[in-house]
Amino acid sequence: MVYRLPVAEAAAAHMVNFRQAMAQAEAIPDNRGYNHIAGFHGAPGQYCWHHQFSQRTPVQARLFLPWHRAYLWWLEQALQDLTPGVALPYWDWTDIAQIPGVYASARIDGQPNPLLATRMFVPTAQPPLDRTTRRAPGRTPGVRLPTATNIGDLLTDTDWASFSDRLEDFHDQVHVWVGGDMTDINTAAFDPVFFAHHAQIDRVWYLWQVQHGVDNFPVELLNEPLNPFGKNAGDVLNVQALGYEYAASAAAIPVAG
Amino acid sequence: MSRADLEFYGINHFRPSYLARIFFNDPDVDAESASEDRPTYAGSFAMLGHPTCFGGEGHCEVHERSRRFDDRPSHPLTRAFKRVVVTEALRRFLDKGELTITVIVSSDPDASMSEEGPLLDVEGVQLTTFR
Repeated sequence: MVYRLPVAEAAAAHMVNFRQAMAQAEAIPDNRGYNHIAGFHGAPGQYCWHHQFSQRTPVQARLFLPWHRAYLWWLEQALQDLTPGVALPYWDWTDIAQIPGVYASARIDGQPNPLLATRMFVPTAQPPLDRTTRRAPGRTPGVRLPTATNIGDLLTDTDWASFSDRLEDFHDQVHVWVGGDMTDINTAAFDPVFFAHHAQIDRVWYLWQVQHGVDNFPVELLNEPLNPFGKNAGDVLNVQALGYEYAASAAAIPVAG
Repeated sequence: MSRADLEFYGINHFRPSYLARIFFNDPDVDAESASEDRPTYAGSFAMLGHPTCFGGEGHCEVHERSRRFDDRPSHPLTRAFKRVVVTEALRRFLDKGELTITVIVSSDPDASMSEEGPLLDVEGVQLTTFR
């Protein structure tokens, strides 16, 4: 099991490992690589779950949180194929109210920073996508990042549907704030900051589950499939079953002897 | 009243991403003066949109499914639902009689849109209160 830790300065051990894994993944053009996995969300895969209905249940299929949890798990597993033990970091925008420096630097230690941007390549898009991702933070008038007060209030909401709707809206706010490709569902996941943002969204759900119950989820939705990940919603309720937890810090302690 | 939600139904999100700010009994508020600091501010919602279509003809047309064995998820552009908790704002206006709602919508000034129409395109709005 790994701990997902907060986004930190470039020299932090977990960020060094993560950059290494991302640099490797971004260099792989086949289905093991970042470009392919980023394409699950919008162009070309269109698998992401936001506002759809399910024909399998009359209950409103609020699968936004489970689908994105499975998506993060899939990328994390792909990265662990390349760098054992690596975990996705989370961008706690209530603490860092700007694009984190480690995602904004063009180069780190003399190397191109794989967290700044990626090259989107979707030749089947019309017109074909073949360019570097871009951001434009704060350009939408009035938009701001959610605050600790916002999230603290949200965590007191005891109703799953209300909690899910409100957390999705805070999520949308951050996409709008980051700007550029993050404001387009088709291209958002190609920006590496997408996964740091979604790890924070997933963490807020995890914190809510700690308070209100891991199984606090509509029973009608437990068997809803989360395509293309080979899991259903019930499979992703417990993060420990997906091989991770969230923590504020973790440091290996040398053992003498 | 322990809580009040302003609910927006049938939101068309084949649109650039935007922020929608809501004001009660403030018909004069506009894009320039809209601010969370106004005493009439009630809340906001954001929409992560689909500003463009990356597919061919018909790709972004939402169609109803009627075939018996088609239980695939509905179209990604299925119209959306949003709720905004407006409890505190509504309490301030409960004794004013009539309530008017103004929504100021803003997006990146450089954003483009694939189809014509207003940025905010909704089928219905509902104010729900809970005891």
